[in-house]
Amino acid sequence: MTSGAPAPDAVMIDIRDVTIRYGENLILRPTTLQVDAGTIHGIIGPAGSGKTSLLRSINKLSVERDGATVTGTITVAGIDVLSQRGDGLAALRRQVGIVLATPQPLPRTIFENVAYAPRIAGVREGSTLRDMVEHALKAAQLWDEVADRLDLMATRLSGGQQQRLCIARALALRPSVVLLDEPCSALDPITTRRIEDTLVSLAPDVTVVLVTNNIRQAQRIATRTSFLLMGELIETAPTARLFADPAESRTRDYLEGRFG
Amino acid sequence: MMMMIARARSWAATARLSDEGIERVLRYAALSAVSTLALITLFILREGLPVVFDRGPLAFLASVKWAPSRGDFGLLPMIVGTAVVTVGALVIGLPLGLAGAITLAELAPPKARQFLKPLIELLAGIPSVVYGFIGMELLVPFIRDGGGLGGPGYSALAASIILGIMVLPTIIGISIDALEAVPKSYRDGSRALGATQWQTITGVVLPAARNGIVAAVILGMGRAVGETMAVIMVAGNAVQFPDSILAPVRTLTANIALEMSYASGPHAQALFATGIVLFVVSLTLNGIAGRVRAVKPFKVDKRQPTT
Amino acid sequence: MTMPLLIRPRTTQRLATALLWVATGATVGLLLFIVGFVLKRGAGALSWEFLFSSPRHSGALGGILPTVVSTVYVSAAAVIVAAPLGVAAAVYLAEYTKESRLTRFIRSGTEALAGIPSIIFGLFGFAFFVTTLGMGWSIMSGGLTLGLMILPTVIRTSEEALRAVPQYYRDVAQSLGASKWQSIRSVVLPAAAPGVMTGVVLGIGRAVSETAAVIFTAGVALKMPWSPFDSARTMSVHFYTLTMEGISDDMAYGTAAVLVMTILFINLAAYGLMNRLTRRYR
Repeated sequence: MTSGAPAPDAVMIDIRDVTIRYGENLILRPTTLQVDAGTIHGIIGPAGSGKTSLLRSINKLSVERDGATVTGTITVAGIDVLSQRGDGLAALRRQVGIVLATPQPLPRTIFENVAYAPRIAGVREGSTLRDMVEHALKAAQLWDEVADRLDLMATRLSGGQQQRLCIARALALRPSVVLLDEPCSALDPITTRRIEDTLVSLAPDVTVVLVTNNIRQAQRIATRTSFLLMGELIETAPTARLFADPAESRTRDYLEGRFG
Repeated sequence: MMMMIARARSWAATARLSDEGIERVLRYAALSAVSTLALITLFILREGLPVVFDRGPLAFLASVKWAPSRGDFGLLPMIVGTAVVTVGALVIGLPLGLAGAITLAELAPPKARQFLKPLIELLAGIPSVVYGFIGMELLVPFIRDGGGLGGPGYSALAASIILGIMVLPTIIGISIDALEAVPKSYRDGSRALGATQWQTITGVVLPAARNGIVAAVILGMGRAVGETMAVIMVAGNAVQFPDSILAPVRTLTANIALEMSYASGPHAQALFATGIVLFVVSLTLNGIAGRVRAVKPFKVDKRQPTT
Repeated sequence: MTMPLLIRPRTTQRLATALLWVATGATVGLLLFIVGFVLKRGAGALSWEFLFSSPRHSGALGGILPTVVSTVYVSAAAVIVAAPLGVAAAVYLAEYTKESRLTRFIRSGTEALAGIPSIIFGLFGFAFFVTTLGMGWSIMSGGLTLGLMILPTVIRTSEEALRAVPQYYRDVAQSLGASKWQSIRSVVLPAAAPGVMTGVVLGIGRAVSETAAVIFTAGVALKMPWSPFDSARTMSVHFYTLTMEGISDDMAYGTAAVLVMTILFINLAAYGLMNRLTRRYR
């Protein structure tokens, strides 16, 4: 497993000439993008720009669940994503967690939500499971709030707690990558800050790809940021430079709120 | 904890079967209903067709004489009998059923609907022998003595009334679905133009739900045609053309059920032939209902972008 | 516009509404009357002894125990056939396919099967299970016939329940490394369980109340069945025989009351399950 401190500047996710189609509709034009290991990579852009489709392609969810056609190559930690099927795909998804826009706990207890991925992966021993759940909940900064009620139905938690639970669930197998699809879109500013803190604390061990509608969020925590517009990757740059001095006028227009 | 471990083990076990293998197994299961239909067709035809070919189809469908001991297998009286009680059932069931559907879908407050709908669905659950029994105990004597209508009581009328009640859940249930499928904007538009609720129902809602209601009626017919036990218990079962609704009749279903227990040879085959007629009628009614239902009176063009 | 024209639509509205309610009231009243009548008249014959003793003199005296046991066996056999097949078919339709020619074919076949009169199932079961496969009049023949008869009910209800499960359950499970089947087994099916159970319970209700399809497949033997290949008389068939042969009015009413109470209980159970399902996704 590739957890632990990776080599600085190593490329964790390599996206080359990727296009995404739904039937006849071209959602993403040929896109090439590298994400460095151990960083937070922000992807911003208006609704319908292809951010979510790109994110969901990194663990092939767009192909399997949404019926998308993806061409080009995506590699995560050297593994070719798009050619994975069956057990290989399952193994890949244990290395690449994903957190969806609205908090989406499964209708089970807190413990069982976090233990789901380990169980599917074949972990049977109770003490191992408990350790994994505890570690994941601590990493997601939820442990202190729920340690004494792990048998509570996850749906009874507050929205912010549910979203941190979903992060914990994605972290249970100590993945090397976590993908987040507008994780704070349904949450208030204070809860949003807590989740941002959580993501920052993950960063050295885990590579985070953060799709967000909230450009300030990218500005606050992303190491590098990409700007997508109508299925086209306009530019990628270190976050500070992208915001201070974008190379493209369309990026400037977006950041200044001219559209989207 | 034991349970958790056991569960994990069973999940891991299922992973061993490939997803493709599971999909294939499920596909076979999905074909079970179609296969059953094919098997039924095969066996009904296999048992019933020989005697039909032997005597010629006309001897069955157009002959009025049913005397199995002498080899006469005319089904016409039973076909007419079935038609009479089915029409009778609709005369009673259609207005009541439609009224029930309109009331529940358009008029009743949600609380009342939540209570009334399952109650009416319960009508469908009552065994048909119980309907038949009620008919025997109460309806037949009433027709014969109490109502002053005369006749033996066991009659096309009694069968029609019982069947009319029995088709209610079918007609109400499917009509409600049709009414609820009418977009709310239709009603709002009509009411905004000053129409009363009743004018809205007759002028806008019912026409829009027309196909679904027609399908409901046809499926109700199918139910009436296929009902067996309740009809046997109240219809009198005499093989004859009824000269009034107070005369006894025998339906196709009754013909099979009454004689199946002792029939053999060509007689048994003739009962299967009766089954073929019934089978074809049921499939036809079902097919028509399916077609009618599939046609949407208000087509939404999905190719247009929604935003 | 003159005044009378303005008033008339309102009068019509009031009249029509009243008529509709009266008709609906009549339907509901009829139902309550049927149930009430049977229960009231049957109450006299009801006792533990009636339920738990064997009939004597063709059922004119004694109880109905063998018919209760036969009903349980035949219905259980029907469920053992219909539940796995029906749920598997529903999983295939809801989870593994998009709308295609194959699914339309399967669906219309299932609809057609649902519309086949039960007496035809009786004929088929007799020709296929009783005669061709040589199972004779037996619990097996009756159960298999009824199982195929309730199959469409189970398929339809289960498919609806599966479709009501939010899409994201599948996204979440599969993104955590579950295969498609694992996600269905571990997340989707448990979430749909109340709806699936509703279909099964409704199927049991149909099996219990059915007469025409069992009388020619399970037979009419009025004795305790000991093996799956014994002939068995279910409550419905017993009730029919008591009535048509005029054996005993008291016993007939008693049996009808037991039958109706069973059906009431089964419907209540189905309704309760359905409520649990709809509450969950509100």
